[in-house]
Amino acid sequence: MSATAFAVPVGDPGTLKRAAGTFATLGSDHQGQLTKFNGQVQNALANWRGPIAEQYAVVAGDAARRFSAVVKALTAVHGALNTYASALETAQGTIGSLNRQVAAKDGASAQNQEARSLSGQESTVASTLRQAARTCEQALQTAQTTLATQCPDTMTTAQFVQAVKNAENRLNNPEKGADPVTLYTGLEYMLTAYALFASAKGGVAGAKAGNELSESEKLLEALQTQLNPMAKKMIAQLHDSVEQARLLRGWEQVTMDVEKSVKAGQAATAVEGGSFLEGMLKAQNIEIEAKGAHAAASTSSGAAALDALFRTSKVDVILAPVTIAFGIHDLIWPAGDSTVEKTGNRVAGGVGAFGGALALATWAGGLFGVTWEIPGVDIGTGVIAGGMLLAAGLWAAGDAIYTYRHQIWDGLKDAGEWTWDGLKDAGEWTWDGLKDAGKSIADMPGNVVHGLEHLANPLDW
Amino acid sequence: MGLVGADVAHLKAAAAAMAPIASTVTGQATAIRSAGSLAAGAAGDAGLGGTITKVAAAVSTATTDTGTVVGNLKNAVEVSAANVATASGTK
Repeated sequence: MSATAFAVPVGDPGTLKRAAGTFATLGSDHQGQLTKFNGQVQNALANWRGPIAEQYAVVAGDAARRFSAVVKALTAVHGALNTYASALETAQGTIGSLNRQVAAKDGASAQNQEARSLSGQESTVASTLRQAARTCEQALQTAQTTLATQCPDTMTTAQFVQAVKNAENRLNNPEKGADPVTLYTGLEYMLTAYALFASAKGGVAGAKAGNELSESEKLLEALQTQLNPMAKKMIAQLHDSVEQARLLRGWEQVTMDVEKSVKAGQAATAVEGGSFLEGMLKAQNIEIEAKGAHAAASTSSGAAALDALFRTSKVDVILAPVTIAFGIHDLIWPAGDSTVEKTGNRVAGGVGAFGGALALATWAGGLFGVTWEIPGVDIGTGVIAGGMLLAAGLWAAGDAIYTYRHQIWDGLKDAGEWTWDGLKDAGEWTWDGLKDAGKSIADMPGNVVHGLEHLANPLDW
Repeated sequence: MGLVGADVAHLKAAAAAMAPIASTVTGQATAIRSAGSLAAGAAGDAGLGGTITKVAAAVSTATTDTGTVVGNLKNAVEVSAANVATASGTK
């Protein structure tokens, strides 16, 4: 019988503890950087006012939240590794002791007998260590999940899409009587979508937006000209005046939303991609340094209106409308070549639309425990609710328009065949037939109506 | 904006102070990844080692991106300081 009757668990508890200590030190250092960061932000904002200062404060608040999330993760990693290192150390010590007991016996026969008598203890030690390893793994995975809710840029695409789908399900199936603000603010993964959008991965691709801009412009033109008369006739078919009014308002809203998406596309091409945050800052610089610079980058009047959108936002803080505008643009015209990728980007775009409003809600509500005051920023609860409603409506409308964008586009190319009477006679342009028409533009209104219902009452899902 | 020359200097100072924070945070990201590699190698359990590596990578990514955001905020303050300086005639 050899001296090592039982296999000593592999691993180096001393090194593990040193690594755990490094994580603890890094967490402490990171907390120190957060303190410095907060101090400098307060310094910067002490006498600084205006839209850039407000935007700066919001982004700084998001960065502070990221600091805290990393500190929390580092602390958790330290704890998990330290606990496992102790378990490993104990197991190695116990197995070593058992081996020494076996080795102390004279002769192979006695050693074998001793080993058999101790095998139960060895088995228990090994089992305990395996359990400690699984517990450590679970603690680490929990730390990573928690980190991802605050820093979604750490998630894989698949993880992010799944998180968004979960959130979408909660939005579509709210518990009866759920308070809208509670419902939305409870979607912590969606709240953090802004951070993802601000990362390099979530940026608006300027070239892609440029390629697709022409299609969005055609869609806008169609909504304002060819489709609008048809919509009016369609609305006139309704007998309920309340329904008529609701659909009319919805149709007008869709037109306005598409107009905004056109302008967002123009802005994206002007900003030339990069990270969303870079684009946001670039756009801000353009506004400060050369008012109307967007207009200079485009010959259309839409760019000037974009300036107005950014400057006169109803939610007062520039960050939110920018995020919403770009979010809805990506929702309608997602980047990517494969279906799966498009779906993921589409969902991400929708979340981006939500993220702008919800970032404000997060900030103003202090939901993430950021306690320092922001001079010059005063966001009211009503404004936040309005932003959330706007985002919800945009998502719904964009979703419907996206689904039928190709039919819209194909239909426009054959606009000569598009007459109200012709469609009506063909039996395709009827309320009952909309669902089953299955070709050309005839499908679109029914689905837009579905989206419009959300527009009219976006929280009544 | 109603700011004066002293405010411009204040803003510039705030921007300058952000630079070492961004640099330090970025350096921490590298240290986090290294500590993860060290711990993974010492764990003695392949599954646990893999998890340690993934978590460390995620924390490192978050830290790197935070450093980027801080750097962008520094740039934003610098740009605004320059604009305020122009507007207030101190430049």
